[in-house]
Amino acid sequence: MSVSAKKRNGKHDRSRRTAGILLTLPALLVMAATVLYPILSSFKLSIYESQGMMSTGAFVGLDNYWKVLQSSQFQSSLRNTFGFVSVTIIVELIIGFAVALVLNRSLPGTKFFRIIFTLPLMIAPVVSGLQWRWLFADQYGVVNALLELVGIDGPLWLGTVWGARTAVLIANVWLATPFVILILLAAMSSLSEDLYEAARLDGANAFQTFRTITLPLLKPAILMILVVRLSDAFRVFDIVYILTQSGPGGSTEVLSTYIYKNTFTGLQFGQGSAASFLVMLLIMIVSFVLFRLLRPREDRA
Amino acid sequence: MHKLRLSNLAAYLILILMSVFVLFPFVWTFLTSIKTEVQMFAIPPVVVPDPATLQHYQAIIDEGKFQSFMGNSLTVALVSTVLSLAVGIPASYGFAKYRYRFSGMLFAGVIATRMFPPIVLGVPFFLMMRQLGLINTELALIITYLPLQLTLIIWILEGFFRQLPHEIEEAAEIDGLGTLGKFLKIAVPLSLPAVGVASIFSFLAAWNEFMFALTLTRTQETQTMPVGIAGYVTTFQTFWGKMSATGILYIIPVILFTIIAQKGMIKGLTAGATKE
Amino acid sequence: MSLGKPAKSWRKTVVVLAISALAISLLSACGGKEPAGNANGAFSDSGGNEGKTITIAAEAGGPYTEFYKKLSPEFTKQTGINVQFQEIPHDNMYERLVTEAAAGTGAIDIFQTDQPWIAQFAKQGFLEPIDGRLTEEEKKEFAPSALEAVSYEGKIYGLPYLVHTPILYYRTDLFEKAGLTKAPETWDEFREYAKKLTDNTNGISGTIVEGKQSGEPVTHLMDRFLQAGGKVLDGDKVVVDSPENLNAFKFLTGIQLEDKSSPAGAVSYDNADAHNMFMQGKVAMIMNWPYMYTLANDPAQSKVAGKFAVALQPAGKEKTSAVWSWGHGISSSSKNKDAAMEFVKWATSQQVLEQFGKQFINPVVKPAAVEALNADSTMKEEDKEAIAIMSEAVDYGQNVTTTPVFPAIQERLALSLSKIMTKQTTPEEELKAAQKDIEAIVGQ
Repeated sequence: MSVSAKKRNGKHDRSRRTAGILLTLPALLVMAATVLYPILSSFKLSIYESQGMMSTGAFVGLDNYWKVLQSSQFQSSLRNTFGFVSVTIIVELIIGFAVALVLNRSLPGTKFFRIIFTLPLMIAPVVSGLQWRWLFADQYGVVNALLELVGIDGPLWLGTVWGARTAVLIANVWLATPFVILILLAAMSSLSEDLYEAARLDGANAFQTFRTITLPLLKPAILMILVVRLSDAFRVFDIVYILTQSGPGGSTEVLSTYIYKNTFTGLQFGQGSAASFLVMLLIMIVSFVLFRLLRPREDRA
Repeated sequence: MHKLRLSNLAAYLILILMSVFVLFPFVWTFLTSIKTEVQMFAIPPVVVPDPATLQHYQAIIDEGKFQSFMGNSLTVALVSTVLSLAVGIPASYGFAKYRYRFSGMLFAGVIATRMFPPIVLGVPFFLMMRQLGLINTELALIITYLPLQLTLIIWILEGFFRQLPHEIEEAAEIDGLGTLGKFLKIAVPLSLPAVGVASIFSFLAAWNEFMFALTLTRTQETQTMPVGIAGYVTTFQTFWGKMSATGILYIIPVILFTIIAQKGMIKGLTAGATKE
Repeated sequence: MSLGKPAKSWRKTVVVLAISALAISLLSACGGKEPAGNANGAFSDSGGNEGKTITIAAEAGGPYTEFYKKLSPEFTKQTGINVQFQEIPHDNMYERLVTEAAAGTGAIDIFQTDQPWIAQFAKQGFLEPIDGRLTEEEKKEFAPSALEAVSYEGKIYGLPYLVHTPILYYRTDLFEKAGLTKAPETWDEFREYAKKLTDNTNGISGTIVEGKQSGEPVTHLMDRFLQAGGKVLDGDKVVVDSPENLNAFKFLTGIQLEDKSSPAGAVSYDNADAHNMFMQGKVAMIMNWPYMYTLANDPAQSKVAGKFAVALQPAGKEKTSAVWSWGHGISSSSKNKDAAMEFVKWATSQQVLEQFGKQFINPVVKPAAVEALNADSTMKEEDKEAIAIMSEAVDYGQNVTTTPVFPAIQERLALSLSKIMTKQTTPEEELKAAQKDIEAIVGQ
């Protein structure tokens, strides 16, 4: 390359850099104003004593964090959230895989089913929560009436610990499984047919092909599902707020509802913010671990 | 042959079971919306109301709250989507094609905010809006929804722009197009389907949002539909009829949209899925 | 490629960005709406209150809100002040009013205030003290206990239109069938009657013990505490963990879990469910607020119209219950305080209260209005009797919400009640835990 060409390239690089900065700057400014600033101010709240809503009190360092960590309600909401997140993601993946594998076979009519399965993705969680509250109602709820038709004495959905937890789970699975189905389906359809042909020639059965070909090749898609669904499940609020109001006996209290109550009923802004930061930290750790475990090998080099 | 038929049968069984699970809440909500109170609370439940009634639909339209909530939802979702697209599309393009020193880190930072539970922003947003005097305005909601939508848009579109073949751009450069020219004349037209998907998802994010709307708005002049519909649960009684009617009218546009935009949606999601 | 090109495209980029920035600011300007209160602020210097609009934050779905909504055109005719109602579900009302008050936008002029909130609102300065806006005569028109219920540290923060306490509703037809001749007067009688009246073959429960983890069931729990001789606070001292309160819980678990004379699902019920079950004829006795009297007597929505009567709540160790008020208070950030005060006064005027009592068969806060109702020959005797019972119940009542942190206490007790009724813990253990947590709440 000649000297002048190098020079030109250098200028070219610089202008590309400036173009990049200018293109991204507005979005970055918006993010700074609407995320960075609030988060920093929230951090400030978390290290001060809160005095109602109108003013902040004295500097207390990590006191709010200790108080939150020691509170039994935080601990139980943490346990509930972890339980909820892991069970809901597993159930979603199982159902998602079953449905996606079937849809991927492109039997007649699958297009129609695919449209149906997309619907819940569009529905406001509030609406879904209300729908399920009505379906699960005691006495006049239709779910137990249907169960009775087949001879099952349905549980008290919203009046028992596990009934309420199951209700929240079902409502959430209803909302979120479509996402899992769509992603898996998209990833499956991009898999090469040749691999399967080769496996069939080798005499592999359906389960073996699934385990040795489909699953490993879907790793990136599964990783994405896990990360997206993990952060969504961690933030679950609307459904619990509408469906169970954290009851019975706090058995469906999750981190978001705990923080909401602490802040807007208890007016403990400091502790509310501290709890928010603890949750953020937690999600970052969990996501990091997931990335480590599931990142495709070739990327690691 | 016999074996194959059996496995097809199992496949359809799975599809039908899933359809029942997905559709049942909608169907039951619709049936509830055309029942009288007496039919609604009957034990065991009445399935098909006879006679059906439109009284709940009549009631919510007469009250006028429905129109107001719907209008607010529409305004907030449309304006915030347009704004975040205006900022988000160039940013996605920049992140994808014009790397600079910290752009990778900044991009990761933007995407990472998607993982934070929104409640983290609940308190600071409330305090910030109070300071700005924006509590109980649609503007407060629009501002609040910008970061939620921006992360979504950048997440979907960055992957798409990155996949645009380099050759096309080089050809454009030879034709004498600058950054802006390439962006407007090549990148954006080629990515219209993905932009469509990004718009749908950001629109829905605002259209369906509940928690911020609950804390930031006060009166029916500014409240959006999720808050409005939750208002039918009261201590004295829950107005299941009005609520179901409202719910049905609220989701009809979204359902129509899903059916129309089905193809593009899956494509757009795929762009995100194959990114890693 | 010429060197000039990139630089030129730069400028274009800048221009585009500038234009989009402009577009953004324009668009956002259109997107925002002024709060209702502010929009009307512009007229405030035209003198008088005519033409002003005041906004009232009112409980959604409540008959009282409906009553005032229906009657408010009359107020507008008299004063020229327009009235807007902002309806909020009771469950969210407290948070919404607090955040509204703290935000201070003036979007809401009048808060409908439930008793437990007054101390907190007053302490935080969300409500305007209105002593100065009332003459001594006007104050004297109210029953003293009524004004006390809306006062905090000696100042009045609103005018109550309702001071009430739950009473016992019982099905006279089912009582007759079971051979019972009078309402139960003690806890023991109540428990025994509930057992006797439970008729599983016909799907009828003796009573309902509301157990949902929510604020309203706690108001009934407070009644049980008081009737057992217990309380939550003694002055500033937390006395939740007491043998009396333990008895109260044992009374409730006895009915729900041992006798099973309350439906199993009641652990997830609140007032709306109890109300529904009674109106559907599925329960023989419930403790509920006076508001249900008129509704349950309306054949259009109730299957038990004319088939029930009311009585004082059965007494435990003591014959008492917690008294709660609903009133109108003025937001301290209101920009229409004078107009708002006109409404608050009008809403508790003699004439409006008479209509209120007549329509709802409710206790009434002004003795003169009670007398007028008693003299009214168009009213049915049994309705007059019901009002007398409701008023007597209020006379036995006590105010339990003297602390600004009551809402937080209420929420903690909701957790206790729900945990105990769903057998997640024993009353003994839960009272200890609640004692500790409430001490922390009060200590803050």
